[in-house]
Amino acid sequence: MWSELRRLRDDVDYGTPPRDGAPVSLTVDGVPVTVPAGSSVMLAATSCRKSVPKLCATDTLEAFGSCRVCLVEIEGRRGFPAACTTPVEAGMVVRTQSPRLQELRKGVMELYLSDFPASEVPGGWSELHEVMAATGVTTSPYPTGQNHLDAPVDESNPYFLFDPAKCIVCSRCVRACEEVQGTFALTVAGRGFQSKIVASQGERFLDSECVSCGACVQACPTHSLVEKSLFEGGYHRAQPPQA
Amino acid sequence: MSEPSSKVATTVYVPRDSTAISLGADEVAAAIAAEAQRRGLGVRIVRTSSRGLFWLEPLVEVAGAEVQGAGGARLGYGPVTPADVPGLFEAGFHRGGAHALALGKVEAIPFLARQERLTFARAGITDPVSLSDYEAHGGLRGLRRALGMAPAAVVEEVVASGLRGRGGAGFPTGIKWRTVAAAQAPRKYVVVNADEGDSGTYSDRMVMEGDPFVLLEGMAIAGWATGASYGYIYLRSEYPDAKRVLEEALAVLRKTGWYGTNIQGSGFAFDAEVRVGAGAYICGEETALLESLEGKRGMIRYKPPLPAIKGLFGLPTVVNNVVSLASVPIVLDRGGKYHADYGMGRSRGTLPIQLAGNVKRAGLVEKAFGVTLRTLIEDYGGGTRSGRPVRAVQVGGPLGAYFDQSLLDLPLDYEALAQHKGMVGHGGIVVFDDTVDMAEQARYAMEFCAVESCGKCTPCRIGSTRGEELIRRIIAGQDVAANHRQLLALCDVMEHASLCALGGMAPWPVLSALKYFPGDFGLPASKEPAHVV
Amino acid sequence: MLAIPAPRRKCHAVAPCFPARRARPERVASDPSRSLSSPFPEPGRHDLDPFPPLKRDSVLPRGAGRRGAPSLAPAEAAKVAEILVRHADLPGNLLPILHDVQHALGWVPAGAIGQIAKAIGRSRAEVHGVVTFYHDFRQEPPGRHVLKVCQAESCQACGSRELTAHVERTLGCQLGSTSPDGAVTVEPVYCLGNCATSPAVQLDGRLHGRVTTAKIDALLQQARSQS
Repeated sequence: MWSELRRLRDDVDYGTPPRDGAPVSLTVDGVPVTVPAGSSVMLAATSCRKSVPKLCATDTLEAFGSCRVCLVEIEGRRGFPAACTTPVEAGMVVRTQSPRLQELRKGVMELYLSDFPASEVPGGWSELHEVMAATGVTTSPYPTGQNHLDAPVDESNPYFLFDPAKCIVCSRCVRACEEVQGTFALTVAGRGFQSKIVASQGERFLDSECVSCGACVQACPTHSLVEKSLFEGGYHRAQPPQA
Repeated sequence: MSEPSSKVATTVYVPRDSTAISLGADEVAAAIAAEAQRRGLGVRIVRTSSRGLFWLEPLVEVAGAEVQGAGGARLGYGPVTPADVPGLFEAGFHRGGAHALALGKVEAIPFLARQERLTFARAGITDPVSLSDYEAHGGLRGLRRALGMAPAAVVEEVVASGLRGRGGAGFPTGIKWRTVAAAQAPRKYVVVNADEGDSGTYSDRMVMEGDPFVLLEGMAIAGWATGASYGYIYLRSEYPDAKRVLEEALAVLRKTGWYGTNIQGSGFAFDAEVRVGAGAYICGEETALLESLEGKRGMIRYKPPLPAIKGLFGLPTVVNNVVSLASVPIVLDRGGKYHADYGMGRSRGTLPIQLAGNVKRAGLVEKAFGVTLRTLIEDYGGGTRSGRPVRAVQVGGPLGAYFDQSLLDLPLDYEALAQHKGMVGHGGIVVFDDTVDMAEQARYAMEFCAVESCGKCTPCRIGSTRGEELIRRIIAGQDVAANHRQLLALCDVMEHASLCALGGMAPWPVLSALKYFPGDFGLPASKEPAHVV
Repeated sequence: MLAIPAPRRKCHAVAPCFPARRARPERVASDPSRSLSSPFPEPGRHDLDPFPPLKRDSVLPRGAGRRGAPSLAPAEAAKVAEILVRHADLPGNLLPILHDVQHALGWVPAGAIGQIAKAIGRSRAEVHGVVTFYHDFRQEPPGRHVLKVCQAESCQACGSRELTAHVERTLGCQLGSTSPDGAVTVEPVYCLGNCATSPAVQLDGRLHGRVTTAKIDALLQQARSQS
């Protein structure tokens, strides 16, 4: 088992944490793969190079199951289970691509993009942009409605900033602050569409219990939390390209 | 005690159910007491549960040696207001005298007489917190028998009864108990889902306020059968009266040795407490409920692991609806087969149906599965309260489909309704007359989902808001065809990609409104939503 | 357009100012039943350095928070302290605590959150997240009376929309706010379980059924005359 686990690559994000367990064999898109029991379907798929698009999953954090982008089809099961929260079973037959899955992933991405600054779509290189490329969705068909695009940017911390307009409430930052760092400085305030990531009781990051470890910044898939050093001349939300 | 005492000529029963109180039952009871004293009459007032004939509330009943023409049965008068009380005494109501509000023998009232009350056998009859009343009417027999059986045998009795969860999911209760019983852990819990948030439902409330001992007895049986030693009743905060009654009942059971350590010398220890929610419909979903009990945000947990194996505080937990647990004592008392003999197909036993909304005779109808919606709405319910025609009916709560007249001959049964994309849910039926605007109801379905969304998953968090906006635009006549198409696509995503049934079923009332009432949206009648069965 | 250098890694961005990720982090033991055995030959601490090389002249002290953490006046803090003591041994005690705080103070002030968090061993962020999740917990003081008007289907079928509009007109405020004279806070509620006698309202915790505009006027007048 140790030798198999050493084969996990460090520059690949398997989606969910590795597990110990007896080997379980399954197929993903026809490719046979063996992973330890307790692993997720997502980890199995990534292990055999059949990655499933994902946003709220990352292998330094426990699975969350919220973005609904990583849906797959499993033979013999109804519906479209999320790959990150589905444990592997021996003999499972998983399909990561199908017209139906494409339709559903597109639908989910369109919802995300209906509350995301359109000007930030071109030229970006976050995980969200990778998923946009993988699903072929860069615009939203929804007429303009409620959104968080006017939320103010928190630049209080000298090392990173938080731009809530780009936040997709995947909660990776909150989970990183809990599971990786153990500081519990972040939370989701409110619920439903009003959910927003805040530090402590809604303070600026600098005034909160945040210890500037950067775990949240590393976890954020949309560059909503992002290092200031990446921007020359200060951070501006990108303006829409001139017609 | 609910039996009239020989020292008092007449016993007058006035309900203490919160619906009855919301219509003035407390004032009526006070007026009766005052008037009786003024006339020097020996009248004893007992506060009981409600019969569930709510169009007659406050329903006052009399019984006793002096009551004429009753043959020992209770005679009813209602709906009574405080202003009616002097007139009632003048007419000699306490002796069964004739009066405009006289109803005759309550148990002969057709609405009640035609029912099959197993779970609600004591509704309106007993004092909710009198243990002797409860025992005199069949209470505690189930628990007594269970304690004399092996836990595994108790589980099998529940399996044999065919009892399915009455919360809405309809999962076989016995199978759930089997899973918890088999789980190994230092401690296990029974959690009662008393977060009855569906509009049109009040049967849980009636059990908790009217017959709390039957729920507590069911919980203890569940504990014995599965090895759980403690119970939590997660009660919605909108039910403050239920909380008071439950805590009174718990105190009585502790005092009489039916809850606590070494129950009745059996060696079995079981106790419970009430925990109050805080205004979140989503906490009626079992995993969000468990999160809430643990003191966290009520967010959905993915499954597996099942709560039966990793539930409250990570320990094996039975999560059951109030009525499910309240149906357990009779299963143990009369045997599983007795329960299974009611019903049809895979829907066994009785269902407490709650008639609500614009209906003339709103109340609780406990019947075996199989009665049709039309029978319930027209025969029991008497049609609409407004007198106008019935136009739409929503069955199963805010996530249930809206049906039109053409579907009212469907029987109330899990499978029959599911075939038409409807649901039995918790058994609530909300009736609308022809003044209803179904486009507005569809918009509200999305609005409700948006208000109550926990916010974890994208299709529900963002989708419900977009859905409400799309329907609002359709109602305003903006880009109707395009917005309609987008709405159908959105419903598809929500139905198949959501993390739980809130997002997953919010499209059902919307799609049914579009299908059966397209005109209300400004859509042509022939348009059939492409993917609706 | 953002002036960002091209990423070095394929999968997700790692800022140049943070050291490259060399080993997987040791998991924080939040769930004792989860296996903590690290599968890697050189398990190490998460190597994100809390003190990366400074790009600016400012020095960031560790745990710079709590600068602006609000707190309660002594009288209120004492009430909260008593509630915390009473619930100390209750498992999962946060909701019962918050209910009792709101019952004692009329709302859950931001200043109470730090005190509660400390007593139950959780962070201010976590408690804030819980308080803001549940609609029952108020983050500002209510009016002298609280009127909840049911908005759900059964009450809709019996005229709750018209009743709500009437209440808003009469009080001069919208659902979810307090009347200008501070007398009544009117809130939406989604089902009171009184569906057999819709429409229903709850005024100061007391349930009323078959409510008409006349009845609500009488109830509000009675409430106002008492305050």
